[in-house]
Amino acid sequence: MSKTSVFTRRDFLRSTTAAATLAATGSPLLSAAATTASVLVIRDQKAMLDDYAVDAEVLKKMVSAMVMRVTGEKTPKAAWLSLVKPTDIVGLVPTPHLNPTHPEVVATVREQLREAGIPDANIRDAQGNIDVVERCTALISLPGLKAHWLTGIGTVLKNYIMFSGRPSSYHNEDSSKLGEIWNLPRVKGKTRLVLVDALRPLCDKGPQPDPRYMWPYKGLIAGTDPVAVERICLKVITAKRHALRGETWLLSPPPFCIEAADKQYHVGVSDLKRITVDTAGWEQDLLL
Amino acid sequence: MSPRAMARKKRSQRIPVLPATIEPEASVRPRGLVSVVPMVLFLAFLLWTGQAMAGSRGISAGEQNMALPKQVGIWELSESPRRIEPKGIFDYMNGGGELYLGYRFRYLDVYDYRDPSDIQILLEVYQMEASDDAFGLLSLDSDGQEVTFGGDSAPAGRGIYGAGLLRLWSGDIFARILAEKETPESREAVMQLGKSVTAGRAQSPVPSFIRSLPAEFAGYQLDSRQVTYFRSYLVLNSVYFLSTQNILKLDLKTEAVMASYRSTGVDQPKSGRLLVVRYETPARALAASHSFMESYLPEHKCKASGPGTPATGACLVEDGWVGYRVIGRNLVLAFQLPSEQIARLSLDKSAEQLHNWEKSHE
Repeated sequence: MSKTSVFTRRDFLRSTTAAATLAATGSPLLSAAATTASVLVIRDQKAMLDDYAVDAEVLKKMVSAMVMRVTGEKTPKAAWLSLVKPTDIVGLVPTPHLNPTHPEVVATVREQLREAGIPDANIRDAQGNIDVVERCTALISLPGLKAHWLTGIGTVLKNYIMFSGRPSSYHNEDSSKLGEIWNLPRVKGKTRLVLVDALRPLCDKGPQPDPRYMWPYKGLIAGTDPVAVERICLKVITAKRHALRGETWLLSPPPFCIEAADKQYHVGVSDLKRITVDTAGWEQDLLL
Repeated sequence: MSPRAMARKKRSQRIPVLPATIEPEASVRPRGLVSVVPMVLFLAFLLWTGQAMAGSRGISAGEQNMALPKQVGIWELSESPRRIEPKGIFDYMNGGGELYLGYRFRYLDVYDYRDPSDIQILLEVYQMEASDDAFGLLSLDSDGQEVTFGGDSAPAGRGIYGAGLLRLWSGDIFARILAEKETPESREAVMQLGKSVTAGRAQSPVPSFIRSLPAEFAGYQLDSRQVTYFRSYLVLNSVYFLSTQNILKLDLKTEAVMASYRSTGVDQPKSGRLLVVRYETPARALAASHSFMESYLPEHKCKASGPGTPATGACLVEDGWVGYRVIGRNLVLAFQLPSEQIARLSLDKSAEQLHNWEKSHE
């Protein structure tokens, strides 16, 4: 066993202690003109009915508001066109099963892209298909928010695992390397928007559905920085776990993939101090 | 097409289901030449498409090892049941499959019940190599309402129900029965399916190795709802992250129990942990302890000396005292304890309990 590849609980405790110390004292490294990111959390109490069915009309309004707020544009059409061009081949990448992305979310995004002038033929379902993703010039990632028993969290970074062509090599101790998939030539630089379906997330025991740990958050979490979006997703899930147990209940194993995606693979920003969270809509139990 | 219909269509596209039947008479049809030829062609088709099918196939009546109803309440079996072999489990549940492969998993049978509104009750029956493995899966989470099947005189299964999901252990099977929407009717149907799954089965005892845990030490009481039985370091990490690598050299031939202990002391940390692992041989236990020392306590020298001398010690680390001791084929580790004395007491108590257990076990 290579000693350098072993990362233990003690290493983790030391790293979190160090991070806490830096946060308290201020780190010159972190405060020096570092990259920042912005993430939007938008919620609507009426997004789901009592039986967890999605209200498609409410969802459409949420998606419109989301894309305008993320891009700073004044209409949904202008917002989508600031992310993709009519000549782009746009790949939609939802979570296909096991707490899948609600089909209404995928349908709404597709519809709004069409309304913005993206030809229907240019909008593809790219999930799991390497040939399709290679032909795509733009990707919109649409994962469902869930904890994952192998990787801690299994949402944004894990959503492209099939694009690696060897998903099982990112399972065990190598799950921290999920960020490297985002640098593969077939993927790198193509993701224009990450839109997480947080309508009814799963905060433990994923990926298999377990209703004991699912709750109607009725939200969307979105941004253009995948690591920052994942980091905010983690914050929501962690807060929900603490609330459920009434005590600290951290994810196990810790989601190492998030920090590695930032510091090792430079895919985005993982440091909460460098992430601005913009919130809109329903504020009860926001968990932020 | 409605979103639900779209999702259903997508689901059926994702997991190919081969022709199958649960009709009892299907297995006793006469098989002349006329029926054999299509069978040969069908088998050739199976071989040709083997990659695409990836371990998922329909189940014939002869292969079913339990009598499940075609209808329960308003839910009807909507598709032919299908069998997921170990090689196909990642297609069925992605990385979730590692959980079952971390125990001695043989195959999974999936039954899909639907009500007239297409609301699902999904029944998954995991056939494990032994009862211990099935129990281990149940032991991963004790949140919910405990349910027993078969009664005190003839226990047939034990489960935990919560929010529409029944997780069930019955002998060498573990089952998940999940109602898409929890209602009084779906709860009743889930319980009925639990009864069907366990019907005619005799429950096995919990893994004997669990009795190797001490009930208490130095004011710490065993929390019986927080005892996990497993064999894989991935499962260990899901209940208590220790290392990204398999530093305890766990595999399907090892048995391990991780338990939480709650302190009754005023100034003590609320909880400590004991992990006991049983290896095939004392040499493997010693090798694992060395691996643990090297990776987890690199600044401390292992105090194992000559033959017959147990490797044992206690060290202060970031989250309290860690104790370790090799006892025959077993490695005992204690975590998050407030003092060296308590860490050593936990090891002494574990050694005593292990000796008692081994005596009674043998």
